[in-house]
Amino acid sequence: MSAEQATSVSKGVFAFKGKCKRVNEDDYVCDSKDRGRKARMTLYREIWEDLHTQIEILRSDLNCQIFDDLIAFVSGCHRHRDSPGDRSAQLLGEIPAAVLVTGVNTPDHDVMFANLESMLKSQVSPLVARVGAQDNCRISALLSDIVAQLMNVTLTSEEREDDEHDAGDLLPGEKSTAVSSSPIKLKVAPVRKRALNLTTLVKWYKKKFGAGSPCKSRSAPCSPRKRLKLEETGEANAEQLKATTNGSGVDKKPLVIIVFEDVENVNPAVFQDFISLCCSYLPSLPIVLILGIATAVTAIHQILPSAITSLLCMERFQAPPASRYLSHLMDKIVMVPDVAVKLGPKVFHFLLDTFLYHDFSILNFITAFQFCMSEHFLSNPLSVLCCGGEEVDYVTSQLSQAQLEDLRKLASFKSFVESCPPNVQSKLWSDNAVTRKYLSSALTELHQHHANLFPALRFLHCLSSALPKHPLGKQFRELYSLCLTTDVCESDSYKQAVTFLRLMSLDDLSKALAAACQALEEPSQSNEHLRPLFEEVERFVYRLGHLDEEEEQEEEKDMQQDANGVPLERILPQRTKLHELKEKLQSMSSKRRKSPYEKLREEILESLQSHLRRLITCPLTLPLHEALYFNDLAAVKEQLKAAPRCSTQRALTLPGRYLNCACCHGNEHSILPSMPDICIVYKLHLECGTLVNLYDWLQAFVTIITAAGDKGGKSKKKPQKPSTELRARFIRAVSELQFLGFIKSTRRKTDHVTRLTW
Amino acid sequence: MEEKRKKSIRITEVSEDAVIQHILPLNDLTRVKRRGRNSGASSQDLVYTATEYNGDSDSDEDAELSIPNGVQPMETEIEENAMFGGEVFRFRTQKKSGQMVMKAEDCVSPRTPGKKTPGRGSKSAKSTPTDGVLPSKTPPRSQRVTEKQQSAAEASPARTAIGEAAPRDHKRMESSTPYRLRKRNLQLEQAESSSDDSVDESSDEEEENGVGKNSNSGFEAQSTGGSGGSMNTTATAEAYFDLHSMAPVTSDRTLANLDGPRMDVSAVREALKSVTPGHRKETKALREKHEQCYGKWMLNMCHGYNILLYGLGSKRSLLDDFRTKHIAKYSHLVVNGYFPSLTVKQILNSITEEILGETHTGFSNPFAHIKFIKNAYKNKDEDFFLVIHNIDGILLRSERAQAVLSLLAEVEGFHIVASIDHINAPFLWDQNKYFRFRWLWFETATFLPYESENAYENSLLVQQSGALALSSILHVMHSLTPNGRRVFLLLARHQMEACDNSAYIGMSFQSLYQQCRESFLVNSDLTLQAQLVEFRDHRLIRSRKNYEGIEHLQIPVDKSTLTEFLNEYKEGSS
Repeated sequence: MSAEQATSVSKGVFAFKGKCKRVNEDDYVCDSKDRGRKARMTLYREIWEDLHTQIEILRSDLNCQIFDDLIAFVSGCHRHRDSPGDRSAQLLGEIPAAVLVTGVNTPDHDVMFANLESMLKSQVSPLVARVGAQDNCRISALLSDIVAQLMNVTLTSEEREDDEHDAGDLLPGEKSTAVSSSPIKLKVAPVRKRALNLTTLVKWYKKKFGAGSPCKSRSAPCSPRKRLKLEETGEANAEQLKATTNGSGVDKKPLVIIVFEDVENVNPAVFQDFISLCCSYLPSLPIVLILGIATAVTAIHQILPSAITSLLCMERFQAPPASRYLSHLMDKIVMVPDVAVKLGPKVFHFLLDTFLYHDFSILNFITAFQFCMSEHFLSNPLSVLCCGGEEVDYVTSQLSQAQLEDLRKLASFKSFVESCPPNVQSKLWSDNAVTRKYLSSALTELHQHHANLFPALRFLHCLSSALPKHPLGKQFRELYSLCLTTDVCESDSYKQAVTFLRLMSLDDLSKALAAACQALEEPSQSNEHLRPLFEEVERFVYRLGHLDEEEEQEEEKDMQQDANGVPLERILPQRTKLHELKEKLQSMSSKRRKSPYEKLREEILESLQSHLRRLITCPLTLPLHEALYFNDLAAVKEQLKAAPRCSTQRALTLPGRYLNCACCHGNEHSILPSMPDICIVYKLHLECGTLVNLYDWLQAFVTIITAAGDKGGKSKKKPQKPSTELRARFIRAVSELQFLGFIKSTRRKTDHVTRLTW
Repeated sequence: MEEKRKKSIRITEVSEDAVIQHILPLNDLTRVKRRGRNSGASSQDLVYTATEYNGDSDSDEDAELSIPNGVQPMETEIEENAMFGGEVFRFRTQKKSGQMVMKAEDCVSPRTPGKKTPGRGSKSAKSTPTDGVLPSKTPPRSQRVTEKQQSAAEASPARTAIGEAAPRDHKRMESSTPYRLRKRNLQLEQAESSSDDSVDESSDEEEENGVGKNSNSGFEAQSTGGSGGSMNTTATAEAYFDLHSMAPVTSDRTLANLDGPRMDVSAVREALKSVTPGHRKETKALREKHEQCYGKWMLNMCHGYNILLYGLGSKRSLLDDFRTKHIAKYSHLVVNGYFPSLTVKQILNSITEEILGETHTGFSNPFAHIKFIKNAYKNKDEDFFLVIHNIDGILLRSERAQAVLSLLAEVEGFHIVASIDHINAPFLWDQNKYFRFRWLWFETATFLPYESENAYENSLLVQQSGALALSSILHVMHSLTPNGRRVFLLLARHQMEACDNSAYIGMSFQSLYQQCRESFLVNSDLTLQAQLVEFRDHRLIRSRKNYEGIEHLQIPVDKSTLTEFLNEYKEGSS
């Protein structure tokens, strides 16, 4: 049955209706080899739910701050509309337009504009229309789309039914009853598409928002029935509008806001027409445009001629760069002690690099992060221990015998055992209670380490971020990634940072220290490991602020010293050699008395360093870190950022590696007769320039293939005529190469093909 | 690249300080020194060898890469792919006419050492003239080397003798060393050993091998890939434009040299039926390996991702298997992306009509259609699977088609399993579409032939024969009237007689009419025209006008097909 096979010479699409509706995820979670998988997946779901709500909150206030300016601008437009004194600006006929430079992370824009729309609707005006990029290639379609959104009518497929009703000569009255029966739903009687244009919008607007409007535009010719219908929809909407306007207490006519999400992708001709149309309706409709642009404002000037841009009164708003939002996100979900799942250095860098050097897309980052999490729980049996710090005891006590057995088989468990005291080691292999206890203590230690690590890192970051050349990075994530890969306190960049700190002036140091102290204040409340550092820093800040007192003390001491010391030594001998003098002077300068500030600075740095050394160590050196850290880059990379062309070409050059057969093992340059035909043909065509002669190609192919059966060493005088079978094989291999996109046919020379790759 | 170069220069400097831990650079240095003694090489030579070290040191860099170091850029993290990238994306290099045949024979010859076919002799004779032109043609970066070779070649008078001597020393060479390279090596060896006897031969050969590889950068991926980064950029640019301005050199042989007509699709298929595919066990093992991923695919689809399969070989049967095993229970749609008359509208219509059971189809554009589907699935709580074989199929390659598919991927409950084969398939998606698809990539190389995918594709060999196979001519002939048949035969014979004349543009209408009248086939030119209309409709003839404006008629098939046709027809009619 061809339909079951889904192949046909006359059809390319085959539909099958299934009996079941929902896929049961659990069917695929369970794995015969891995018993603990189900438990881990439930754990994953819990953690993800948690994170997801956090992310949703973050998403919803994505870019909220920058919208404040925008909204202030929009609500300021047409303010003097009704006051008769300020008509001159209107007579200029410029449409106020806010140009929102959004940045290149286009996948995120949808969320951003959705936020913007809801904010505009709630704060400025209920009349907001949003125009996406894909769907408007004609001005009529664009207008009807916008007007439908503004008037809140649905343009559904019922349009057709509507036509039928019209044909059936239904009384308008019947329709109105149908509408009035459900005024709340607002899905009012469908309107014919072509009836939706700016003129109808003007009429609707005028009717709803009262007389006295300065509208002077003539009413468009409109069939009575249509008008009636529109009025009905208008009434329904007006009720809602009144509600909103009354609620907000604003007593003026709402603005008509039209948001273009992606101006670069709108058809320029349509856009030009639209703007000139809007301009002509400006006296009757308070239109405000918001134009989203991914690249730069100049794009508008490229799209629109100056005649059109002169109709716009543009003001530019710059959305903050996506990387700022990323820092925000990472501060919330990646670089915090509370979230149990952590990214290992490799994966962390991979995700970060993908973001910074590839797409700038927050949503892609979140997707990838989610995938990493699910991979972690799916593939790593140790992840069953992945939980928040306070649940550790519970989780470890709930471990079943089987789960413990599984854990004992892991390599990371073995290294964990080795890290334990020797008298316990043997017990860990057999005694469940002891194992549970030690697992729990190891995990608690890990969590405690995180609780220490992040505040300490932030403290260090506060100190170092303002240093010249930024040895420890401008962003916190740079410091964190350094911490993941190496021991920060031993790294060169840390030492460099310390040297810079040693040279800091009093003002800078006290300022930086105060800021760092503030960062430390909150976490140290609950963490006794951090408290000594915090208290000490507080003391130092105080001392820096009261340096004069210390100075006095110091001076006193110095006086005593001076009295005791030998001043004679300082006196230079009368006659001395130049060399000796130089040495003497040098030694004197090195012995130069330090100012009290310098002494204090030394003291501060010494103390801070000792504290930091205690708190900041690479968490990946601790036992059982595998439970929390996901570091399997290969798995993630293959699935998220594959290189299909590399894969295809590798398969063609090294088929032996894929097939795992004994016969095809050669290096990339050798051609063996046992290789698949397409590999041989591919390797041969690599020897050619732009054009490939099919005849020569065939001959070379035949030479190689026949060599296999020719081991006896009988020399052939001539390239023999290839058999049909060989020719067919050759034809198939060549057309497969064409299918893969390596070659294409050409008319430049008979029986030649063009190569497409090099 | 800049860094690499700096590094390479530093290596020569450091070696003056005799840093011991760098073993490879040391070797290089000694090589350089020796070289300097040999031929009084200039400082340019020094630099050259030093950069060349960079090319050879891939393995060293490998070792570096495996050290986990967070500061390194992303590319270095993947070992294999990155190493392979240099081979996949590279500049066009110079190729010579007979290189492919030589390579083929090269690959065969190690199995039969000492054998020297006459064909091979003629090939090498043919390739020698190119040696003379070499300096002007090769990229300048290798010019220094080739000049040296040139002088060496001139020093040895019996050049052809060396060429013939090459196979003699065959066994000493690596099996993969190309023939021409071997010859060059030999020349160099001879020249050098004559000038300085103290040279350690084995190391010399190794060194020259490296140089030769660089200059003959055809298939030495290692040298082109590795040293590509370190070579002088200006020189590369020049070489690049030299290569592109050059007309490609290929031999003039055509497929007509083969006996018999070209094969049509059915003949090819027939012939392939008897071919036993190799590696059956291995491909089956591969398939089983992929089958283990089924659960993972389903799970990931439950998590809202879509699955994309790539890798060499037809994935159709794999996907079909997956479909029957896991998806058959649910509503799903199978799309053959390679199907030659597929439209997006068909896909959308199948969803609305056959799955949703809607009857009306009055959607103005696909986006409205998708909106409808979206609404229909909004609260349906039902999973729907879209299995797309070759989402990069020709008719799905348009921006619009992919936009529609990506929007479908966003519909609640929709899951997509698709496969790609074209090497540039990822270019189909811009950032937005790629994000909407939420692909997870799975490499599933199957090494199976693309049977159904390729069935519709015009095979080059068939298509180029004028889109007219023997069988189609015969088929039309059978349905013609006897008179019409004879008219066509007349035309065919005329063409057969004149086929040696390359300026032949066909038989003029007048002469055809004359001959037809003489054989009582037609009685007026109108009846002949009526016959010809029949031929034209079946594309059996093509008419052209010559400079005088007289119509000439020609059968657009090549000689071998025509001969075959006449033979066949003689047999068939007799």
